[in-house]
Amino acid sequence: MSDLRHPSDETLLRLAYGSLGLGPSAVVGAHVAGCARCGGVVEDFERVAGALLELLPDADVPADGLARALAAIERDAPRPGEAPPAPPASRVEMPKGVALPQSVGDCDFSPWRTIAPGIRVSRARAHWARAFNVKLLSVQPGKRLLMHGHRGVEWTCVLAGAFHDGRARFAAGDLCEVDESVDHRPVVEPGEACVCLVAAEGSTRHHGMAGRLHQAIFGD
Amino acid sequence: MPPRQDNFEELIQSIAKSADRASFARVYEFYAPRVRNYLVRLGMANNVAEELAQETMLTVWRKASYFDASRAGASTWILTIARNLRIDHHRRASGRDAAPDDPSQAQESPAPPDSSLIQAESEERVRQALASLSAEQAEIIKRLYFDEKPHSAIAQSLGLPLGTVKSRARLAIGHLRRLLDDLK
Repeated sequence: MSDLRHPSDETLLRLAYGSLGLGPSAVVGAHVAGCARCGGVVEDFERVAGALLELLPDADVPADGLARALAAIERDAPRPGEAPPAPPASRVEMPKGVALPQSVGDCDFSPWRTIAPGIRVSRARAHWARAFNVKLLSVQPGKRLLMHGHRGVEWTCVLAGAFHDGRARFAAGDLCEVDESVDHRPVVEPGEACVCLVAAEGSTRHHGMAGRLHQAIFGD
Repeated sequence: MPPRQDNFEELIQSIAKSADRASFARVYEFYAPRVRNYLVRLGMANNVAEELAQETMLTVWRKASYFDASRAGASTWILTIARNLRIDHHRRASGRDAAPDDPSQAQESPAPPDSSLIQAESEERVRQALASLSAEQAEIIKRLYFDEKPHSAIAQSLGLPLGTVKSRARLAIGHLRRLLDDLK
C-alpha cells in the first residue's frame, strides 16, 4: 500500500468504476496493463462496483426501451466473435525501443518540442486528453528537474529509463502519483533518457474552464 | 440491499446458448435502469445516458458468449461494459479521432460453455463484505464510487472537514481491501 511506485487505492477504485478522468485513466491504465498487483486490485474493486450497481435505484427508463432493444436485436445479424478493429497508430515518433501504451488508444500527439535544455515534450492532441494535460516527457540522462509542487493530483507512468525523486526510484512500468502535499525534485538516472506519460487533475487553472467548456459542448 | 430474484449469470448464459429473448428481457429489466443511473451519476446527460444504457444492453446480447462466470459475475461484467462504452463515447465525442475502442472485449475469447458460478458466489461475498462495514465507512465507499467529486460529497454527507476526508477514505478503502482479501 505504501509502495510509491503504484497508484493509490483510491485511484484504482475510481479507475475500476470509471469515475477517474479519461486522461488519468489512460496513464494509470498503462501501468495497470503491466502490473499484476494492480490488475488484481482493480478486479477486486470491479467486483465491489458490480455489487454497488445492483444497489443503484432503478431510475425511470422509457417504457418502450425493451421493445426497442428487442427490435434492434431482430435487425442485427449475429456477429459472434467479431474482433474489434485495431486503433490506428498514433503519428508521434517515439524514441527507439519505446512504445506508446495501448491505453491512450488512437490519441494523436504533437511533434516533440524542447521546452528546456534536455527536456522534450509531446502533447496529446485529442480533446479528452488535453483536458488533463496529457503529455509525453523525454528527459536526458542525468538531468535534474526543478523542485516543484502540484496543484492537484498528477500521475506519471515511466515508459523508459528511470528517475529518483528523493522518495523512491521509478523505472519503466512504475507509476508515480503525487498530490498537493508532495514537493519533489526528480533526477533522471544516467545512461538512458527517461520517457514518461503524464496526466494531471486540476493542475492548471484553465483546465477547469476547459472542462466546463467541454461539458457545455459535449454534455459530459 | 435489494434481493436479486434472478440468477443473471444463468440468464446471460442462456442468451449465449439459445439466443433466448425472455432471458434477455429479465436481464434488461433489472440492469438497463441501473446502468442508466450509473451513467447519469457520472455526469452524463439523461438522453445520452439512456442511449448508452441501451447500447450496453445490446452489447450484453451480442457478447453473451464472451461472458465467463468464472471470471466475473453478471453485475461486474455489465458494469465494465457500460464503463468502457462511456469512455469510448467521450473519446469519440471529444473530436479528432474516431475509432471504436473497447478495452474490455479486446483480448477476450468466447467463454467455455457451462463455466461455473465461482465469481457469482464471490460477488455475493462482496455484498456481505460491504454489509459488514460500519455505516460511516460504507457511506465513504459508496461516495468514492458514485460521486464525481467524492471528497466534497463525503465531507458534506458526514459533516467532516475536507482535510480529514482523505485519511478517512484511505482507512475505509484499506478496511474494504482487508475484507476482500479475507474472502480469497
